[in-house]
Amino acid sequence: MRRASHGCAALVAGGAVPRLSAEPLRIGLVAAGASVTRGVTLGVEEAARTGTLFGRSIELVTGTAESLAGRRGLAALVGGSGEAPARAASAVAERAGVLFLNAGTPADALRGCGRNTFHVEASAAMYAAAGARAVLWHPSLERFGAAQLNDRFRARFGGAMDGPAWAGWMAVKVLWEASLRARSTQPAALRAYLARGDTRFDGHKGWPLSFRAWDRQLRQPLYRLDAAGKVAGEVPARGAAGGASSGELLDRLGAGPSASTCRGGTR
Amino acid sequence: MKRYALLAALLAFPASAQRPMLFVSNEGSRSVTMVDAVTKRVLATIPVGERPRGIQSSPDGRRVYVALSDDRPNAQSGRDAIAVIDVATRRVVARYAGGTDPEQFAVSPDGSRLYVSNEDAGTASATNLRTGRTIATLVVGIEPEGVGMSPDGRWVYVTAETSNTVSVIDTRGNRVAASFLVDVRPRAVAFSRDGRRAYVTNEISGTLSIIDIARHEVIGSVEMERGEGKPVGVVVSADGSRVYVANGGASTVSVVDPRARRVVARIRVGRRPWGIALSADGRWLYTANGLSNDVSVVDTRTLHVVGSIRVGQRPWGIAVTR
Repeated sequence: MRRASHGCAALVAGGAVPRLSAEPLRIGLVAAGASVTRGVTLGVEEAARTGTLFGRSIELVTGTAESLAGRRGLAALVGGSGEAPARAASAVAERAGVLFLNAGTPADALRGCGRNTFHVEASAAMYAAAGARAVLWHPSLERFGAAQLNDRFRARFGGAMDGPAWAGWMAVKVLWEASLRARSTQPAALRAYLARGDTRFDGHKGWPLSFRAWDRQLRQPLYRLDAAGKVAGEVPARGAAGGASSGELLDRLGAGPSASTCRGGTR
Repeated sequence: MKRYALLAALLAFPASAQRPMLFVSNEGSRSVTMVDAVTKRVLATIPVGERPRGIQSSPDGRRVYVALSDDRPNAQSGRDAIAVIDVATRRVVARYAGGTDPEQFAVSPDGSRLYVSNEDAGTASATNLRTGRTIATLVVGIEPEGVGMSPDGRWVYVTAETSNTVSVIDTRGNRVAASFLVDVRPRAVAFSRDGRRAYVTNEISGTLSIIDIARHEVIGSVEMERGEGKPVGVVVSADGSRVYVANGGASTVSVVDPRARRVVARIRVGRRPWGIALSADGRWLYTANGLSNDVSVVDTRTLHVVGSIRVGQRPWGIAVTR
């Protein structure tokens, strides 16, 4: 098992440092394609950097879902490129009592399966609702810090940040933020934070993002591309609120609360 | 006749620090618009060459500092700078190093130092304003943005958009003394004049964090525009009883009572206000409106918009000289 340790337990002077667990937030990378792996790597490096401000650290471990879930102190698995490996990782996470953040599989049949499984990748239903050429992320996005994120990714890997890379980065970001705000590295505490109705995560998309209670799918906008592959619009359209909150608008994409999409998994 | 005499008198004296002036950074047209705050007349459009964002007056009102960066966010270049505008001659008279991609900054009360956020590097730098030299570069959160300094010059707060943090720089020794979390995507920071409170806007949360400076700790959070306002600019009245927040997403200013921790009024201004500033006497509030290319002037007694001043393309920040 390869093991990469990031972050250092920097001692920060002053009385304002939150008293947090000294345990690193331990994340397992599982069944991740190249883009997801890059996104996760950037996410871990950025979390480690923030961690130095708080005397906290993050650790990324790799291996099979089974071997990782048995590790002491593992908080979450991240990855799941491909429906079968994602389903397997989800099942392992549910059994082992750790979280699984799906950053690689849109399959609707996985949505809503298991209380420990959260989906950062958009669902197939969301993509379908957004149109034929919808993507999760695009390297040409600029507003709301998107240009900065795209440039950090490009500087780190020499390539463009695509949808799966963004999902990997975002999965680590939400886990790290949950850990800092819940002041814990325990899966149960992280799960409770992610599942809270009033969380607002920033994914550099300009909308407050959160997980839907019914299928633990990240609420988020998608981007429609034109025939030339350029971003032609955002779905839902910004400013089309008409009194609806951004959460309500985002919920018009994909499965609503009444839909049960989980098939072949544990609910 | 009398009017002409007055006009002649005005023309005879160059615009100086004796008259309050507004300086607005125009991100799109790469210029700074200088406005007579009394007549609301545009006196000059000063080209600055690069994309200007953060803008502040020196304490004596004779100079205006403006952060310039190149177009590519993470590309380092010699064009990143803090430009110095001489108010009397209305010209850029110097360019100081401000680290890479400088965005917002604060000038110390004695006018000797400037602390700036370097967005792409994840650092904050301190510049000696007498020599123009960088005297310290400190690691802060990821994508640093807002910079504010306590009125006694002791503390500098630097917000960071990606890490949702505020880093506290102790200016005695220039080190990061503490860090704390605020809400999501913190942007600007402002201190109350009594040095007890700081306020941070959080763009994605749609909130204002209230911070106790003695403990460097968040003690409250106020939601604006039902969390949908995308607040950016923030300024505190001299007596500390009101905090004005520019909601870029709602094209409004929220007036917050920080003691009651609630919004007490809402003012509709131009489109996408970001920069916000108060006149020295606190009577007038100004917002730089990025999408309507103007500055809204608000009477703080009535909380009504009393004027609108056309400026350059995509106005970003606003500074008022005494």
